[in-house]
Amino acid sequence: MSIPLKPGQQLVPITKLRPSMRGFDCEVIVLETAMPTTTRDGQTIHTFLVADKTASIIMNVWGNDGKFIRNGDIIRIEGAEAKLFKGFMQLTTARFGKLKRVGEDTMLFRESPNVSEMQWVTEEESRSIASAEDGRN
Amino acid sequence: MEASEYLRQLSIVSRDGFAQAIGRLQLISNAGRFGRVRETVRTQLFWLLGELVRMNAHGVEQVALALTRQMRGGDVTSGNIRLCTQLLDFLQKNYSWLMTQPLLIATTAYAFGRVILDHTRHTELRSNESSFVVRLLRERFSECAMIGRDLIRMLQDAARVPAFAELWRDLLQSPQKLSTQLTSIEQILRVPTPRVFLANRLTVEMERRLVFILEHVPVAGFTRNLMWFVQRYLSTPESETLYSDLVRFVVGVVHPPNAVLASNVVPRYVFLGALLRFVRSQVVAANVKLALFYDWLCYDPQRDSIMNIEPGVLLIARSIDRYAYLTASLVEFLSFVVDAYAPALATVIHRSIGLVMLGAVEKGVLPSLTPVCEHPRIDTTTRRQLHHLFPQLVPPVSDTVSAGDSVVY
Repeated sequence: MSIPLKPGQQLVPITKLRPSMRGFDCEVIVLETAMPTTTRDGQTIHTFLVADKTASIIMNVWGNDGKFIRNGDIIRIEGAEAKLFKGFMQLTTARFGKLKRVGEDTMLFRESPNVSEMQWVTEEESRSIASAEDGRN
Repeated sequence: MEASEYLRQLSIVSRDGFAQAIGRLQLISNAGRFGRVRETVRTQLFWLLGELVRMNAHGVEQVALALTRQMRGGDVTSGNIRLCTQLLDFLQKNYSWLMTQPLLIATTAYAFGRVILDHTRHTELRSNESSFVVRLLRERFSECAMIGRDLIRMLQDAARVPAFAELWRDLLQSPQKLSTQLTSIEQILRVPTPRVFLANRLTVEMERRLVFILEHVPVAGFTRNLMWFVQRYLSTPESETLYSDLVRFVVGVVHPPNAVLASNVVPRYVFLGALLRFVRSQVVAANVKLALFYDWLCYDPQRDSIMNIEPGVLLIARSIDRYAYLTASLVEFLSFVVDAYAPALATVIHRSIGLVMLGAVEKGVLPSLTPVCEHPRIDTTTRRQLHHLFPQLVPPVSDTVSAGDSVVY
């Protein structure tokens, strides 16, 4: 990209994201935009499908920033956070996170896998699922 | 008044004949984001250019060339209209200087000739532009002839504008009036257009995105990139004139290296086919197809690149399974063009189109036309047209087949 990274800055690819990771940086391209929603206390949330060269994920942007994001924008997020929402992982900007548009259109991406479609379970649940499957076999 | 004071100081300091200063100007005028340069800055830029011309600085023509490129085709927003007006104004004021720059003459004639089509609503600008281009062509036809066949395409589209009508008539009926060496329109049609002119009609930014798609994006996911491109540059009704310039660019300028051709990157014909599906009006569709086949009309195996005809050949041959109607419409268009494009040249064009297909088969662009003409979804009319176009490659349609086709129970 034309805008260089800060010294020592590292971008985390989407496939390396895990629930409850926070404070990392990543760079994504916006593929789709959903209608913004409003929370009970009047905050707006803009939701996007974003991707990088490894995978795609759902991204939520709180507040007014999301208004300025269009499809095709390449966005560098500093201080991002991966959260579980109803069991599915989503990307958001943490409270002090920053969004910066670093380009348009010219970035290679992969749409599948969509990380936000994967079901995340706790270790215990996974054990019980595994044993249930073992029992079936 | 401050500006002239600064310029005076600059000329005192400058020891390199303004080379450094002009280098900076070039940087601005070549910038991908030139559209965001402020109005006042742009006015100053043109003023400074005028002064530099007056002082005989070298390299101003490079800046002017870059600026012609920044006039976006198919864009009638006020910023772009202002740019056209300013550039035209600058060139008219420095007409005698312009006459010393052959490349700039040809480039401005072509660039303004193309953007005229967008300015139907701006009568004053349009009449200024057309009289300017007509003047260039009449006075300096030999320079403009280096544009090659796209000059004819430009004039043909512009012939709707009254100022061009007479020039167009002269070109067809008495070409000697324009240039003593010119004998017929065929002479110009034979010259392949150099890439600079085709590239001139796309801004730096557009070119960057287009080349990115055609050299990096895999065919599986290119539709999103194409959608973005179309949304950004082709979403308004006025932008339809840009389609044919885009097609000319993809056909004539973007020649991916073999490594790219062998990879899974989106091939040019797939891209063009997808682009064609965005075209809504019939007139534009015809223009786009003409742009696609323009190098076919007077194809010369020695002078023309096989890469210029490859997208058309492949679009006909490979659309057959999924988009048979596209193949049929392209073949129909070709057989229409043969007779109607230039009745005086019908035999030349017919022979040249046959040569294109022969050349394509010979060089291995496609193994043969047989799969196309024997495909079940190709009807007898199209097969007849195919035989008429490419008699060496397609066998005549036997009567028994056509009899069977016409009797449907």
